[in-house]
Amino acid sequence: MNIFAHFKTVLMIISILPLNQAGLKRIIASERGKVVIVNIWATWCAPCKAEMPALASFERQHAGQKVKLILLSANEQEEKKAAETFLERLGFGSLAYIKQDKDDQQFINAVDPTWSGALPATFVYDRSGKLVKSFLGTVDMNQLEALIKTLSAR
Amino acid sequence: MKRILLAFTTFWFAASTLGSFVDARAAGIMHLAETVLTDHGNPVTVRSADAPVTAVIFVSSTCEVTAAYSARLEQLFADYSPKKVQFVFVDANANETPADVDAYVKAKGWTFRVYKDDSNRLADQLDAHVTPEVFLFDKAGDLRYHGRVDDSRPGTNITSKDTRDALDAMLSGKPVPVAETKALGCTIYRVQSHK
Repeated sequence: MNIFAHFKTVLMIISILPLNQAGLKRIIASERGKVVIVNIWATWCAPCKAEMPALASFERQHAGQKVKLILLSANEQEEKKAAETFLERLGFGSLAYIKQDKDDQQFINAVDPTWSGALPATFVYDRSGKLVKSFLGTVDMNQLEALIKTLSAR
Repeated sequence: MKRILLAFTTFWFAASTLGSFVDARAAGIMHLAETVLTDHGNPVTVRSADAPVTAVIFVSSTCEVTAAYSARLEQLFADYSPKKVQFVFVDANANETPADVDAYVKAKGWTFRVYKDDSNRLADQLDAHVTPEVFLFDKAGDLRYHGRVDDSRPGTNITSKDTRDALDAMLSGKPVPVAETKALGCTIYRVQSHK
């Protein structure tokens, strides 16, 4: 048995934690001093899954920097396993969450009142925890990188 | 002092204009008297004056949320078409061809047609961004309801049948109980983003 292959499998297991709107606000506040990116996705959203490899690569490139990527699944709790399996395959290292709120409308408005609820959606918070940019639809990685650079320099 | 007064007046005007714009969709100020969509490249004109209620519903042939609502959309059509509701199912996604839509309609067993909004003109006019997304207009073309079909994507725990409630209210001449709702769904892929 290849012990390294076994280790790799063990290390890539992801446990997605339930998170409600208040919890999301607490996490963003606790990361003050870092630029925080919240990507909201779902296993039923094809473009969300298509942009995930780029986000995984983004996370690796910014490891150890004052940038925090939070993945928040909009799946229902019953679909948690499918979401975990998908993220494990991509090798994400960060904590991931799943929407706990039953009321999607409240959840949408709590994240950003101007958001229609269309996925994927990526929200960028500056180092003080203020929402500064909402990427609605597939995130433009060049724009995201430029924004991170600007916000990190402030 | 004059400058301060001018600045305040400008701010007040901008704020009140923005406020009325934001409220417009829910308050029924948004208007759709006529629109032109396509059916396999052929223009199809839809007029709100042709029916007591016109239901414009944006769908997608690749969106799993549309798929989850597939049977409920068919049932909505079956239940309300006899009540003179004019249904206009629209695919505005630039990455979905008429052939894709045909195959999807067949696979889902839908008995209604799905028209293309090739240039996103209607999606832009209504500021539609997500599928499925419902807009209900009265005979005068005023928007009376905008938002979700209901509050449960899987359909297992529906507590609010928003579109049906709005249709029932409109058909019986009553005010729509909740005029604006939101739901998680798929992004409508615009022509611009597909290039």
